[in-house]
Amino acid sequence: MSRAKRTRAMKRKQRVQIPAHAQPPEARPEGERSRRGAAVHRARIAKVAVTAAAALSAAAAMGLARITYAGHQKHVTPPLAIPQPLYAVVRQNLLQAGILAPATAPPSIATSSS
Amino acid sequence: MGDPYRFRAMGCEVVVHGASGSERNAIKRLFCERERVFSRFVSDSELNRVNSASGQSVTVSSTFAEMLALALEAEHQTGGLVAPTLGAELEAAGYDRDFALLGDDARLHGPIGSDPRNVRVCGRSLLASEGVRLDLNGVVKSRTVDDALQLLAGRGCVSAGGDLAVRGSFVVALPRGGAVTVRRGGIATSGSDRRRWLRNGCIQHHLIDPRTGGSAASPWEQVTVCGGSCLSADIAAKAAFLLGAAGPTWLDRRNIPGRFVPSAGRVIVNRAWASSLAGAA
Repeated sequence: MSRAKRTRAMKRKQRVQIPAHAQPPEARPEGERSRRGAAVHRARIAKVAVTAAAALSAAAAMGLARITYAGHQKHVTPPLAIPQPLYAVVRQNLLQAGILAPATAPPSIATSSS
Repeated sequence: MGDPYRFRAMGCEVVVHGASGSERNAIKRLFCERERVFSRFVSDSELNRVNSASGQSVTVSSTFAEMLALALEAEHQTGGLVAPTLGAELEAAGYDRDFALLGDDARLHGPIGSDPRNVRVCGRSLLASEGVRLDLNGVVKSRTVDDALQLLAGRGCVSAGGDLAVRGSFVVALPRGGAVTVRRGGIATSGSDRRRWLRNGCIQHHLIDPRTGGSAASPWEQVTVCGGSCLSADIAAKAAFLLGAAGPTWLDRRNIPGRFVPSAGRVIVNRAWASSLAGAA
């Protein structure tokens, strides 16, 4: 490269501007600063949303596990007892009638209060 | 049918018709075993052990649990009239020793038992509220009659103090005259004419009204009921006696034959008794 060419190339480099993000904030233009602020705000909202969604998912998973998983207690434990329908089926009727007929012979036994 | 077999158990005479030698022994053994478990007057009976532990949970034998379950069911089906929790009331009325030893008593009526009289049974665990004393004699005696009948191979009859169960037809003499054929089930009489005594000048008897806690005041001297078993008959007879004038109707609503002997006046029968005899004639 000739000396003249090198000199022209160095001048071109010097003419190229420094990019905006490399500049200090006070040196950036006003529009640039407001775009960055909005981005930070959106990021903050996104973080809160993701954290809330994770917490909700965990709570929902716990609830679903409680309802569906066989080993988990799903309801308040009732006291051990015969289920009422079964009880009704096997319950003995203690007030049944017997069968009477007129006496046809002298009595062989008697009933009386004891 | 040969001579009846007789022996004493549960404070009354037991009469068995139609039993062979081995069946007689088995029946006597059954009555004696039940008496040892359920008597209030046998100091080491299971009943006394349970009564001395009221307010605490106790484990009982399967026989005890079964009898108590039956007694609680009887209480439920009679609307609380025939209750197993009146032991304290019986003792307060003066029936605190074997009836044969009971004489006129000058003491005042004792304190009535606790209220509410809660008893809970779960399997063989029993919890009675503090102060409750059980008396299962009524249910135990009649149930034992039914169980004894099951020990007979053929036609026969078992009676304990006049409460009886039959297999095959038996003609049975009734209080204050008359007789009837019992074709199926059992017949029992409850009344205030027996097991009565004086306490502080007042007549007491063993049929306690749970509504008052004292000996029941009833227009009936004796109520005889024919039930599907001796137990059914005994429970219904007691309830009808305690209900007084409403007794015949209460039995009729359940189509159970009943015969009522008043203290004075003529014997009456309810519609179920009359229709049962008319239908069979």
